[in-house]
Amino acid sequence: MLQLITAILVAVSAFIFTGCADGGAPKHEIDYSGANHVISASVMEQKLEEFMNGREDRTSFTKWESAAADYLYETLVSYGYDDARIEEMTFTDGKSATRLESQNVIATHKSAADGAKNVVIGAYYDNWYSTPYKGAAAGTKGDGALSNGTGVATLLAVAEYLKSEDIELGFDVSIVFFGASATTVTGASYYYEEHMTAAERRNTVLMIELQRLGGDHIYAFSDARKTKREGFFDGIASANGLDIYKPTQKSPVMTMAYSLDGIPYLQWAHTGVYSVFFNKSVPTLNLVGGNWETIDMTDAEFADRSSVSFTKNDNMDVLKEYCPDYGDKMATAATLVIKSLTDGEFLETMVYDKENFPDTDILLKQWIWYLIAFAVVIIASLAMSLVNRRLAKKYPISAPGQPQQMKMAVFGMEYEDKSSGDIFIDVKNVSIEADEIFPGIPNNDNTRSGGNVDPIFPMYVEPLRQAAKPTQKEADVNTVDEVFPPRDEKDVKIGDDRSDVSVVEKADGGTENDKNNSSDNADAADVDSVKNDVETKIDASAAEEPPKVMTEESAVGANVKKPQAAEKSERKPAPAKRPSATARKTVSAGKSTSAKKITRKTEERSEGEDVSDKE
Amino acid sequence: MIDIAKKKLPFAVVAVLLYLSYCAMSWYVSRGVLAYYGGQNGLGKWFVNDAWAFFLGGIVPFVLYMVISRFIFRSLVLKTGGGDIRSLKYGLELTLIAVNILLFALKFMYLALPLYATLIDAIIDPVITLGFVGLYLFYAFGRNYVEKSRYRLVVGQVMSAFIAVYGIVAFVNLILALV
Repeated sequence: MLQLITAILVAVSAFIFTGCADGGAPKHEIDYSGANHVISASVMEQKLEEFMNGREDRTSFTKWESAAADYLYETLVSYGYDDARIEEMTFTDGKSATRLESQNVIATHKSAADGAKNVVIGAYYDNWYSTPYKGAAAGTKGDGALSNGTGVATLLAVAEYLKSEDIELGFDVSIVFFGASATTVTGASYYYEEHMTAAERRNTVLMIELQRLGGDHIYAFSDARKTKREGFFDGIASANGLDIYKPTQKSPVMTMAYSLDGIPYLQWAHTGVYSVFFNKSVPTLNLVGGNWETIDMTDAEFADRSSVSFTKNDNMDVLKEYCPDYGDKMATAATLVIKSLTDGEFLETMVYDKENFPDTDILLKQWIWYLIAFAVVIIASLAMSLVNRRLAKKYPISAPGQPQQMKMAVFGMEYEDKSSGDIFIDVKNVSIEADEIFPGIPNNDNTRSGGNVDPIFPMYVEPLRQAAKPTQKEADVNTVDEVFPPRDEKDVKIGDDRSDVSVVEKADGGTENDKNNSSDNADAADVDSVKNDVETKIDASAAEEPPKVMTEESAVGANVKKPQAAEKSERKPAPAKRPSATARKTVSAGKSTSAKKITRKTEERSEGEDVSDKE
Repeated sequence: MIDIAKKKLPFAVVAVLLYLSYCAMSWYVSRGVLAYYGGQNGLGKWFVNDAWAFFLGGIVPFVLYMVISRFIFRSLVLKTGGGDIRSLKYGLELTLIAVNILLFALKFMYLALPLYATLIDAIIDPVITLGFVGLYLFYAFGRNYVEKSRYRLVVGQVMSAFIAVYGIVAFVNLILALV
């Protein structure tokens, strides 16, 4: 018990100390001096300030969201995007059947070539400041500066850069601000399904999402599967000194669950509006801020601070406090996008990935894997059955380790199952005194008178005595009195050298006269001495012998197989009578010097004598 | 027969080691579950971390093993009446500790091959566990922990339990995947 308590305390202590430990996250002081930002951090910060100014409430499906859409539209127009437009969307909430309205804001940096490929760069602009409709989740009162003001400001900066630089990319770039996408992907789904033509979907080679660019790190997630674009983006980042992380594999994953088609697990980096395009086999790049290097397994944004997205702390003041270099991070993301778009190998790489989009549907067919697992179990069952069959033949199951029982064959052995392994005492054909059966019981009369009945067990002994009285037919059977004549040891014989007094054997069996040689003629002293020398200690060989049946052919001291190897008792079961004179079996019970003496005397006496004449 | 249980580690120590091994074996899966539900319910890093994931992950399989094994070995003792069953149980628990540590090591491959974590989870766990348990029984018989006449009984009871557990899990998951 003490050891158990100690072990539990050790385990609990380890649990407490590790659980309460600091996250140990690397703070990762980033050196932006080497970064080749195409847009400065200050420009980024300014654009964020302008967007957030007066637009803290951009709750989905509300007029405040619409007001934010208007701002974005006007800003794009001011950048020179003549085709900028607000795309109205109408939805119905499934639970409350409420009619809901939202907007996507879209602009396109067109290529001079017709039928050019298309790249979509998107960011959601709404938030969940207040409760949009009855039955919806409660508002968070968060301004959405981090989620997703930073993404919106970065996309505005990229849009402005492309237009101001008037760069001919050779492919179209669609600038999309998704509404109704702060907590869902409704706006993005509507854009892909309702706005894009079939040709546009076919020609879209990449979709880039910008979200929460204010955490400790910026992660670039392309695909959990091996793709060409991942290496391309790594090269761009490295070439421009951009501190871009890739989602670590040690991020927690939920196996057997997935949010992206083709990837059979769920990971934090795998959430966002880009999933709409990913699931349609469009290559994607998700640029998201956070910190997944720590012991904290939540969608953490900071190592030593709580996440602010979708909380009331998501405002400019907290952003500046928690992440003072948020401007640099936004600039880093914008630089990666612009540098990638303007790289000569960009289009070729994206087209390659589009045409060779990994097909891993088989990984999503979980039933196949569980079927295989079930088959493994079936095979194991069959193997076990075969082994069991083999074992059954080779090692038949024996009776369980039940101890052998000693039973009294009251009606004789012919009614008992001799093969049961139990030890039987055939009391039907035995002529014994009470004290022979129950030695040591008080009131035993050691005299061998015929009327000696044990007063303790009169009801048992007398019938036995009556039954044991030899009939005329059994007259020649030796009795106990014959075996242990109290004073006359003439007729005592020992069967073999191993035996003690317990074994009595006549050469050719007793005669009718033997019956008359009752204990009256026995030498009680000698009998006692012989009896005292009797040991029921069973030697090794005797212990291994199968149990002997006390039959009329046995003499006194039947071989009793006892559980313990060494055990003494004063008496042994009495012998049974035999109907005819046959040689009795020797029952070994140990040695005794007295037995040897008797043996010698018996041998001396028996030479040349007929046993039957002894009586 | 050899009663090794008397000579080696006390039950409390073995139980703790077995629990920790189950924690290690379940750790990769439990951290994902904890991260997901922690995020869904807004739980902070005070709870949603690797330490909690480690110790929570081992509770269910450990309790399951203790309950089932207690039943199995009590049944074996009653049927065989032999004291050698204790040695067998002791050795089996040591084997399971080794199996769980091996599985824990193998699951590091998820870090390199996260795409295949699903099928690895579904297939490798039962294969390795059943294989090692079978090998252990073979070893135990060779070391005379069990009387020859009881081989069949022990194999039937012990292996059946493991097969039944994995079979039920695979079958239920199969049905859920198809539905």
